[in-house]
Amino acid sequence: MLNLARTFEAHPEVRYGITTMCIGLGMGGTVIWENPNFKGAK
Amino acid sequence: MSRTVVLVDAVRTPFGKAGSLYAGTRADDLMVRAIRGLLERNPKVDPASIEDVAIAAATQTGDQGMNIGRSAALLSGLPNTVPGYSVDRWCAGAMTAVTTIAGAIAMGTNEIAIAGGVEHMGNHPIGEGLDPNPRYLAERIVEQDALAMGATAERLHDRFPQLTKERADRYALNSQIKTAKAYEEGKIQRDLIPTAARSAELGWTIATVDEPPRPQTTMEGLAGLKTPFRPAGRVTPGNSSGLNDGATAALLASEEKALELGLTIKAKMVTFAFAGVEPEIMGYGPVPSTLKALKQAGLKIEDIGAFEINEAFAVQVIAFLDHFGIADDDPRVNPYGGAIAVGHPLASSGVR
Repeated sequence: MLNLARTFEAHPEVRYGITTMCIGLGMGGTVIWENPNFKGAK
Repeated sequence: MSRTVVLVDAVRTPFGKAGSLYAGTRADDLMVRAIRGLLERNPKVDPASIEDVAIAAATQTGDQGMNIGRSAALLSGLPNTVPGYSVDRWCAGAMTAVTTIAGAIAMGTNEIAIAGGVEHMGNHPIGEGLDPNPRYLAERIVEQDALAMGATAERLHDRFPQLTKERADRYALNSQIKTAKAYEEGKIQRDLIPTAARSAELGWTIATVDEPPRPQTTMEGLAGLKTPFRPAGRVTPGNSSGLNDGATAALLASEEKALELGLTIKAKMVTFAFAGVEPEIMGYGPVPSTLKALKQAGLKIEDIGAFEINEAFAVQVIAFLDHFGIADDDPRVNPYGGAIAVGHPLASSGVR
């Protein structure tokens, strides 16, 4: 999440990002985030 | 969500190799450093205004026990009026701490709170104290491989033969290269909280950088590594994350509260999802959880411009990328490298 936040800062053209991970005993988790710095697509 | 949840800030301790950098440092002390570092970076937040502290650990005994959430809050010097609780979803502990806190903020029961995670795999080796119910094997609820994470990664290679060892090794090498470059550019250090460490081998030190990265990694070197999970297998210590120690902490708030206090907003939560798959191929889990989250958000994979995928195993990342038709070296994916390079202290990684 902290890496994604830094990516958002560096890339105002990116609107959405995800953080995702796999989990033992067979699961996955995903959070979708929106970039507050989004200034419209390139 | 009824109220928008925002990520105000997130930090972590440098990560160490189990049995090395933090061999003489307690897990709860790592967690405290992360929380204190987070609050020091955000002086506009009155510690007394924190409404909850959710901390994850995969093993909740010893220095990760005693309700690590409440204990870390007290040890961090938060007023004793600030409550805390502990969370466990193995590797996704800190992620679950964040989503659970987010749920409370969205519902309006909290306005500002801390979520994080810690794992000292030197003090708590993976699988410590586990006592699997015999029915697991007797009734074949899961196959034996399901309980050994490296074996599940081998199963993922079996399931998707196009995910070759060469691809996994190349992905791992790229992760090391990206992390080395991010370090050169100072992009990783800025979110690390300097942490006092003590070990018999290294003595006292202040950790300011991660210990696990191996920038000298080469494809030839990776090709020659042993495959500990299966004879002539494909999963090696080089294309997997290691056994690590570290802690992470995030400050979450309602958008209204963040604006009221004049806090930075680093990201806004859109939605989240968890999903289950066959335990034998746990590395495939991010595919259904991402599909579910995208559906909830009304978004398509093409709408996502940045991916942060935890690199427990290289094969698990490329399985995800393959499913969504994304190249193994797509620049949108883990631009600063990932767990293969910096390490994966289980329950802490969700916030990294």
